[in-house]
Amino acid sequence: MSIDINQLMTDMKNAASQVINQDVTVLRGFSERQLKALAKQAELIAKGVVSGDIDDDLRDFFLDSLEDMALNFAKTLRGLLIVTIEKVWNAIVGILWGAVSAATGIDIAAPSAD
Amino acid sequence: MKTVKIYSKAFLIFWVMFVAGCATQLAPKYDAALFAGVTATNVKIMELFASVSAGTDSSTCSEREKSYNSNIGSVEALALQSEARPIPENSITEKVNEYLESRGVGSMVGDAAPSARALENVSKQLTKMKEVDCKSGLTDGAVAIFKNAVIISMDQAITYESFLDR
Repeated sequence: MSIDINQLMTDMKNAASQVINQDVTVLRGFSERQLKALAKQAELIAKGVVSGDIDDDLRDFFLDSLEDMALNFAKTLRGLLIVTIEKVWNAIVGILWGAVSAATGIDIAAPSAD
Repeated sequence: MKTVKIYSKAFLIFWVMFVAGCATQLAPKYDAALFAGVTATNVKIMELFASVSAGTDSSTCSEREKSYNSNIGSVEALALQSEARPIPENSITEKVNEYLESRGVGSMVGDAAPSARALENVSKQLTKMKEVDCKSGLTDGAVAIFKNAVIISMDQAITYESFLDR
């Protein structure tokens, strides 16, 4: 049995699209929540300074923390993307694996993560 | 003709073995106990915030000290648990990093889990909050800023940890 290249390509595209479509929803929701909350934090700090609710020491602490949180937002987003890349990669490998198994007639164990 | 078929089959098997080697794990494994710990601690921290939402007087700080200590201890333990988890290191992660570095982008894999940094920030916020509370009391404005900071970091930790469940 030979491999249908066009079908294989379609299957790989579909597998990748399914993963990406699911994950993009999560990534978009997370980004929107974080950007909104970071903007709110800047607003709260500014209000606190103007009203005198927070002193200079606390203002500096909150500003340093805001910087750390913005950086970790970017790192978290990057971490989520890595997971998506891994899922796409393994989905495509799974399709290829299945196609070759079917073509050769050999029942080969599915690839495992190393 | 038969020989060609045999060679083709052998090539396919070797090719499959190569592809199998490429199936990989780029991010840490999901830890159900860690995720449960983060969500449970989040509830306890929000209860603490609810109890101080109108601001506090330093004279009553001792009433909240136990709650502060318990929550700080929990998030620090969870941060440690997250950081102690093995980060996948393999030829694929090295290749991804090499490629990214050649393009002037920092490595994307091999760093500590971002949830560990997020939980450390929660601990930092609660420690500072306790210090201010016991020293001079908290204004409602300060409580709102501490609370939003904790929400931002907890969202980072919870979203990342739940995403690892793949």
